[in-house]
Amino acid sequence: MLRTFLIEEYRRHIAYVKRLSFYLFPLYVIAFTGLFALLFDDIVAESGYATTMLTLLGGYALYGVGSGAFGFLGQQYMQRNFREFYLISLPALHPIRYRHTFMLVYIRDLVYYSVLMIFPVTAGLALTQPVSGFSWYSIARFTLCSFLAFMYGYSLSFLMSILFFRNRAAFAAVGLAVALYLAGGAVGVLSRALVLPFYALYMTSDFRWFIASVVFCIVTTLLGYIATPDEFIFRERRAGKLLPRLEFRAFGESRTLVAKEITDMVRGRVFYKVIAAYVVPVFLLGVLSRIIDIAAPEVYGSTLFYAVMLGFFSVVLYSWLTNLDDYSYMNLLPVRMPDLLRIHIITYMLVSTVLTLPLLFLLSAALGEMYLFPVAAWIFTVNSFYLITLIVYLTGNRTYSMLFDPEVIVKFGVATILPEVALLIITMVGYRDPLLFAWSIGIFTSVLLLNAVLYYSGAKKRWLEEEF
Amino acid sequence: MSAIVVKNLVKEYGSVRALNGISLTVEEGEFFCLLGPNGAGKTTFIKVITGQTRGRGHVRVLGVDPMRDPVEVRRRTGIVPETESVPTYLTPWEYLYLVCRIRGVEDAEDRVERYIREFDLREYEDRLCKELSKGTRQRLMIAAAFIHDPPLAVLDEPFINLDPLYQRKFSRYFLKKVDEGTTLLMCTHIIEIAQKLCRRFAVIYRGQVRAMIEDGEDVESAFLRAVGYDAEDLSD
Repeated sequence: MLRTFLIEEYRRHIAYVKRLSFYLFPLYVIAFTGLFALLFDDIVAESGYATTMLTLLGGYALYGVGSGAFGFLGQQYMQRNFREFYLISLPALHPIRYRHTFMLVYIRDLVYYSVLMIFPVTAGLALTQPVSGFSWYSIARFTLCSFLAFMYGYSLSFLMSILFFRNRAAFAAVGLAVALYLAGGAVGVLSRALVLPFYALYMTSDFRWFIASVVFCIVTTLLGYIATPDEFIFRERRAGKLLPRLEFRAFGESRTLVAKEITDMVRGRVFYKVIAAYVVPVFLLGVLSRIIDIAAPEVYGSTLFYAVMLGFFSVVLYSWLTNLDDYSYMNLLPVRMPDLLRIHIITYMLVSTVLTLPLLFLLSAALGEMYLFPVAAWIFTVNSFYLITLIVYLTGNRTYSMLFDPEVIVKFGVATILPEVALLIITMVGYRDPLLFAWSIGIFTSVLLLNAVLYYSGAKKRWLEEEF
Repeated sequence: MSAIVVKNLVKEYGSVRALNGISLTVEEGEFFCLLGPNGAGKTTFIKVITGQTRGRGHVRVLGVDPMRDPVEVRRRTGIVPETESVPTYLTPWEYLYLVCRIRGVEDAEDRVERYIREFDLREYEDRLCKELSKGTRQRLMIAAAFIHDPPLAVLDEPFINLDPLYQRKFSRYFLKKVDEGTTLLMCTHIIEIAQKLCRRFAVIYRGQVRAMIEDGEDVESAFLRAVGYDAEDLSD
């Protein structure tokens, strides 16, 4: 049965990205890891060994958090009217329990993430071993710890997503407990080792941390398995005439479709998902940042740092927007794909701004940098707009291709890393030379805006013939 | 005047040729029927002529080339798709309202109210579309196709999922629309209903028009002959 699930997943990926791109993905990871291995000594000299390892392993844990939340998706597969039938829905028609299909998806995705990401990293380290000089023992140790770090985030995320639709009170209680536990590690009430046992295992090679990591993953996975319900009862919902009330004249001819997107977000309860897919990673990033001291609040200009980072993270919202509805009915109406993409951009900018600016305002107040808030808001807005037009250009309405299409990933990486790093550097010089900062930020954001306009024009041509 | 003119239309999906040189004409005000077994190319044909996908060949729908201006074709046409494709989170009332607004229908709310009443959707108007039964969704799709009073409607299996009562009701509705001057192009498997409604038929098989059937002929026998069966082959 697992084989069938693996085949289904393979075919789904092939439908999203080209077959060659899919096979090339691990090779890109190997190449990137090899490059990283060769530069490892320089990175360690700059950041310190402990910080570098914590960043790397913490990154794996965050990756796991993002990957394990398929409970949400599983729910959608069953509740929504997809044109396709997915194997996770088998219990609706056949004598098999949902907890089994969910567990099969859990294992299936674990196999895919291991084969596509975790083991290619090991291969990259192994292939460059003669040059990098890493010991085989440290390569094996890193592989084990990175796998455990991924499982740490993956199993926790799985449990939380199951709890979310099983019992909201349990979800809130466990979520709060986890948040307090992580925050305890961030502020030093709990030891780092206790909060991040995979990291402690790597640093100390103490077998007890291995046991702790494995026990954590097994317990969270088992709890998720047990909590998976045997039936999905979707209460019939009554809904009023919300759409006409959300038509705002300010959006001109787009107002009805923008209102439709917002209606989808309200009724699709996207705001809960935003907490899981946007606020939680930002919170975890904050915890990690706090632990490794790369963005401690006492550093001047942190508001601007957060403005850049929030802009980067908020693009997650876009993938929720594109996956909320089955848009095939639009093939029947006098609209084309670029019309929908324009609506997505408008809605995204509206929602991300409404969600993020208050957060940025609170952050600037907490950091005593209220005077930086207008600049931070401008940086966030321009950065978000740049990133979203880039994603629209690269993926259209198929944001899944961001996950496994190396061509898209490489292009996205090239088009984001340099501007994002440059933005971060510019924000850091703010306190040294305000005039230079003002000029730099003015010119740089103008260039970003110009690029955003070019990406948007390109997207209109590129996706013109695309079916919904 | 012809509402639809198609000459030598070809559509390929990779190495598969779904439409293999189809030519046919549908006159204005006519109720024309496309017959064909599963996989014959009927739905692909509808997708091409309504600008949902591109093909090769000469196509004019109400004088417009759907490959050059698909939006204009869809603006003037009402389409009932083969699968009842509805927005997930809107109610039937909101979906019809959305359709009216996108199509620029004046007095959208009044029009929606009228169609909700005429298509017996009142008791479902505040339910989410994804929670409707297939039959109710199908009624909603038909309402959405006609709500802007199009001069041409393209109906892909419009009776699917409808109970006999609604099959009869919509048969009358379609005939009323034809009487009012609307051109209808319908694909269906239900020969008995098609024979009662339409005057001309084209049988599509393996991407080609295999037969044109005029009013008065035995449609079932002509259909079976066109796709390579004899009526006696299928008798018990």
